[in-house]
Amino acid sequence: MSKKLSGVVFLAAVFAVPLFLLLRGGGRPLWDAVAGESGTFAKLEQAFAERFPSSDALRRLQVSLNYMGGGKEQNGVFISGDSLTLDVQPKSLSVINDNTLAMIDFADDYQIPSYVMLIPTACAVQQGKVPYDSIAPLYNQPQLIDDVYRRVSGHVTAINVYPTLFNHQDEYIYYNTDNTTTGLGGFYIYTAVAKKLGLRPRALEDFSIEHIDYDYYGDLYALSPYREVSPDRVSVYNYNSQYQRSYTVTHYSADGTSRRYYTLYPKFKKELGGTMDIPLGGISPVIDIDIGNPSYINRLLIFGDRSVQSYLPFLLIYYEQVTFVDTATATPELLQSLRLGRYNQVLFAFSVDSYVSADQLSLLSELPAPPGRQS
Amino acid sequence: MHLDSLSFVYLFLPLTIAVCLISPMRWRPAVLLAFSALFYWWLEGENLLLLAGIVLFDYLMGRLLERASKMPRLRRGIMICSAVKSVAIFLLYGALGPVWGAHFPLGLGVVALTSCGYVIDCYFGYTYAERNLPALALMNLFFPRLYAGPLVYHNKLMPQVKGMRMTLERAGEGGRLFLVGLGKKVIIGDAVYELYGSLRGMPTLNMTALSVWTMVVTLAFSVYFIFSGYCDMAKGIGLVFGVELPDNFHYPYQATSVNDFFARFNITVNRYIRRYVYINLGGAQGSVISGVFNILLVTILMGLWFGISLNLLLWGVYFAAFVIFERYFLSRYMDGIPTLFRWLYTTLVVLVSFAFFSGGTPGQSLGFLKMMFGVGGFATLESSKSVLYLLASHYLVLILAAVSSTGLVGWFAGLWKKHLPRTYGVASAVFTAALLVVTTAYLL
Repeated sequence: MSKKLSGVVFLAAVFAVPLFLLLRGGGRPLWDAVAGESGTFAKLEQAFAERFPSSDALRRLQVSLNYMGGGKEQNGVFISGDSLTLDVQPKSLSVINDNTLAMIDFADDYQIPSYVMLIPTACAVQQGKVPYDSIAPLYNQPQLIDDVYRRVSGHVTAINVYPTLFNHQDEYIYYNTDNTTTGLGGFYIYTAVAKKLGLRPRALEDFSIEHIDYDYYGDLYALSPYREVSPDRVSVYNYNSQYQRSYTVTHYSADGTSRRYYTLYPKFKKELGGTMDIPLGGISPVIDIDIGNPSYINRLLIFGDRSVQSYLPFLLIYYEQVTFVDTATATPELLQSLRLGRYNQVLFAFSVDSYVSADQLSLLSELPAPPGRQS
Repeated sequence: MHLDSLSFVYLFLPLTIAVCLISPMRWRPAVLLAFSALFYWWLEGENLLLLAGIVLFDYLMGRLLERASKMPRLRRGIMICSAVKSVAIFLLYGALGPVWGAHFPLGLGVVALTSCGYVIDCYFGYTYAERNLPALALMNLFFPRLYAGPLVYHNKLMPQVKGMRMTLERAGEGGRLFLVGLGKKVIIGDAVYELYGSLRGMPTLNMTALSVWTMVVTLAFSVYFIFSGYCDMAKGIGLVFGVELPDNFHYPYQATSVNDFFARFNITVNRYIRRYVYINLGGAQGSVISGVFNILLVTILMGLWFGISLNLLLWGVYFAAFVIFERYFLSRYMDGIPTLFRWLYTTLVVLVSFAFFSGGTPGQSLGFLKMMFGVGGFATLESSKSVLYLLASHYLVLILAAVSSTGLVGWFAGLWKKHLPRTYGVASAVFTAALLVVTTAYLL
């Protein structure tokens, strides 16, 4: 009797899933994957996993079971109760070396006052959140930052934000589910950056806070969907200026197209993309921000990553124009269009994760040649 | 598509079951053979022709043996020809394949040995020459067997192949076995193997006695759970289609002697080598020297089953030493030794053997052995931390592996079935459903 019952359960389950997929119109994508010429099996598995009934719940179950079994690091993400933290490990020393040399070469070639800021990730600043923190083989980010700063010394001015973030580690400076700093974290980064750039940092009270999402799940949650993790609150900051301020934010895509917003926070983009498409209108290979602000005439060029969304809104107070180049996605054509001579300052700003895991700066060779070298 | 993939469990398997169910019983072997060929073609492409060639060759050899019943020399030549063919293919792909960049095709060992075994059986008269080519081909190419066996014999399997009765009871028992095997592979085996990979990937300079012992224990667990998982899956799928395959693993880490270990570990391969090599060479009948040589040959072949390398050869030689020691010396005292000590001795011998399995070269294995016994290795704080971190991150799966590698779970289930048969039935169905959900979660 028990065998018959088990047989019914087993057969019902293995037949129900393909029937369910067929009824929900999943047959065609699966057939396309089977009939494809290359990578058939991988495609079929992927198509199956994407369309599998309750796949999200099953993935959460797997993560929870592994967590129960002591697996508090899954897919390179530390799970610590209610928050997720990326385990940053360098891919190779040559990547770090190449990124550092590229900055030095740029500063020497273009002779524009240049600054570098490496933003430590949550696992370095909030080490208490890392499970088994006393034995976890964490990458020494402060050491890396010191090493890079020592090497660029004399060429590029270093901005050390680690002490500032460390002093505020108990505050909500990193997202629970996303590998980047929150708006508040961005504010603390800004206070450290502003001093080095020769600017007078404003107090937090000078900015009004707007909460744009209370239920945000970021990229770390996609990697390790642990059910006990709390969703994030995403906040944006507006400067309470006595003067009228206007922003023209132009995004340039890799294909050469552009789009423009007249606000730092186009809220409609939440419906089109997601919550993180609101700050600065999301991330594009090049973002050009013109500030209608007669008090300042400086122009800043930033080579960086998506951490810019947290601190740039604060820095905009002091500039007439800020151009951001996302070094991971910018194309040589877009770089050729930059007029470097217009900028008073250049800031290299990366999270440590971006800096140690990928070549960020080899594309600087695509920039227009410095004045002395133009043929 | 592999046995442990979503597309197999929820697409290929139900489709094969459905087509077999609606086919008349006499067509089922041919239908299942077609699906087996499709499965293999998808995995290995044109290597299907190689396997088909082996089966066809041995089919013809079997028929020739039948016709040459009164020509003993010719019969002997045919049998040797088939054996040489199998060994040559094994060596060609196992030893020379890496030289010209060819990989060892999945299931080649299983098919070559099964097929050759059939011819030898025909020669000795243990079985008859098969006329039904699809049935013989299915016996060799049945897709779930291709990963890790078990090895089967023509006279035992063929009656089942020709009368494939698919029933709900068999589907229940087979489904449960398949899921147990799948769980062994994806929940325990893969996780422990990942842990082994992390330890094996540590720089040799940072290795300590703790890390090497942990490494060999995790390798021992992963070899058992991955191989026995595949064999359970094969057995389960076989039952669903009405074919009963033999056990290939029976709690090998419960063994209380090295001989007992081989009787529980890769059982069908061990029996195959004994049946076709050891006994034909005289087994333990002759002098001590010939007995020692025969044991040495058997254990070396057991090692080479996993691949052709110097380390696996040494693995066989290492075991031969203990099998000989037990047969010619320890057997006299074995009964007087408490079971716990026998188990400790066997476990120690088996765990140490995995240092040969793990090393890339004999020198590296020797380095591991030295570290295991406290010679060499520098315990730095960082390396100790790394091992502790890995152990903390996998503690439950290691406990699960340790418990599941004993017969404790089976003993408890048997007790439950005996005393509370009704609740056992329901619990068994619930267990099947739960296992299906959990294993599916691990396949995503």
